[in-house]
Amino acid sequence: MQLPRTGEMSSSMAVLGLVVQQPDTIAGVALRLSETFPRARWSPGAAHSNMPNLAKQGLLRVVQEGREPTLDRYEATPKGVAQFRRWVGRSSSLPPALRDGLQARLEFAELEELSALVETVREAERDCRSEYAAAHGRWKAYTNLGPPSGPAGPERLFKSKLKGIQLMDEVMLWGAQAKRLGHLSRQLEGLLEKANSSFVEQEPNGG
Amino acid sequence: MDEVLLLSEVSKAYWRGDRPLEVLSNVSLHVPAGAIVAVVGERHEGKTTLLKIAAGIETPDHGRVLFCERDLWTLTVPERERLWGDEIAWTSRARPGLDWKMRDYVGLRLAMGRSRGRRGARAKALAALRRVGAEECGERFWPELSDWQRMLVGLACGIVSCPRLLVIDDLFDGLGLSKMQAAGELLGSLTRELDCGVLMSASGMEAALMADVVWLFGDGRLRLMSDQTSSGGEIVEFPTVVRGSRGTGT
Repeated sequence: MQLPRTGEMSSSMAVLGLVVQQPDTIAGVALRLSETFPRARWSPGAAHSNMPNLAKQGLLRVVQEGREPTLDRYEATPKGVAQFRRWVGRSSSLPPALRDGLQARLEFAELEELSALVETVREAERDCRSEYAAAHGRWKAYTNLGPPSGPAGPERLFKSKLKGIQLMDEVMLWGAQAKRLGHLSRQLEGLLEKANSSFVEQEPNGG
Repeated sequence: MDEVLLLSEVSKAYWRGDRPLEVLSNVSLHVPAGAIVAVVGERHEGKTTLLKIAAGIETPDHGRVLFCERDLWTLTVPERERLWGDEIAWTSRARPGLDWKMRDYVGLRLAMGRSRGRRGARAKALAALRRVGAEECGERFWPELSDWQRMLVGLACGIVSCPRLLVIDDLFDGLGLSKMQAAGELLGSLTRELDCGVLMSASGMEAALMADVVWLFGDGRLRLMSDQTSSGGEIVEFPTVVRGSRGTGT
């Protein structure tokens, strides 16, 4: 498997990680993929395509055949575990990729497209606010639950704390994105207003 | 949840020379009892004006401010002042104007209002300092305190009169994430204990983590980011871990 060239996590790495975490079937991993990374938006068939592929590369192996291929149970091979752990522990020396569609639109937009661009940014901001609300809800639910009940070994406590940090980070990410888009939307609205008023000023002479 | 505060279509402008500068434009929000409502926005955009109007310190140009269903601006001045002394509390990062020991600074508002007397006010101030875990600050002066202790003293000032509405202006900014979490836990427990509503402002999104309702403020307008008061939040699964060796919790 090729290691990703950006800071993003590939679907194959996520699938490998889930099988390292716990041996599972393709159907099981597909379900866990959507539960664990609900906002990653990988294709619904990511587990179906990646798991046989990872097995071909010797990173996974089938340990029990099911009634159909999606019910074959896979586990990670030592090579797969080593590759995944290397990825988790790797220092992030890769530059973060900026492939934001809005950035590109700002580069390419023409004056007559400004109004549509404002609407696109507003829509993106609304989406971010809605993602923020969902992430904030998960964070509040986590904080309301308190520490894990019952006997909690250090590993369980560690996992629980790590989950809290991940949830908090998600809230912060969506919050920062919504804040950025709100700022961008206000700037573009100002520009649009200026552009419209300069048209109005020019019309009597130009028209 | 009972409504402690309702702001309805509030507007406010300041005059800059011969031009009005609108800082609040038809702003509406509500604060239920037992909830923390955060308004997040850049500095100098008008958050403090919004909070002052909510606390009855500043008049709106338009709109209504209802505190426990009473319109603040139809009350007489003494009635409003009484509310402000007892039921509505304001606290911020501002340092005390005079050199006070913190036990006197925290109890200042109580000592000034409703003839409680200095001794009674001091006892309540010490109780408030104890409640927030800053008992050792009672005998100290402001310059001797760390940022964290100043924040605790600010909270003690806020809760000393057991208010129904606590308005907190930029008290948590600059604390850093881990201290912010600790401050959030403390504020959450105080809010539940007093069953008061909290309206707070912050310039960073970190402070919003402690809130139940989050508004983004910019250009004089509010945008709702999240309201976890009615839904009670989404159920979140603790991480599923390797079978047999680690349990799962929900």
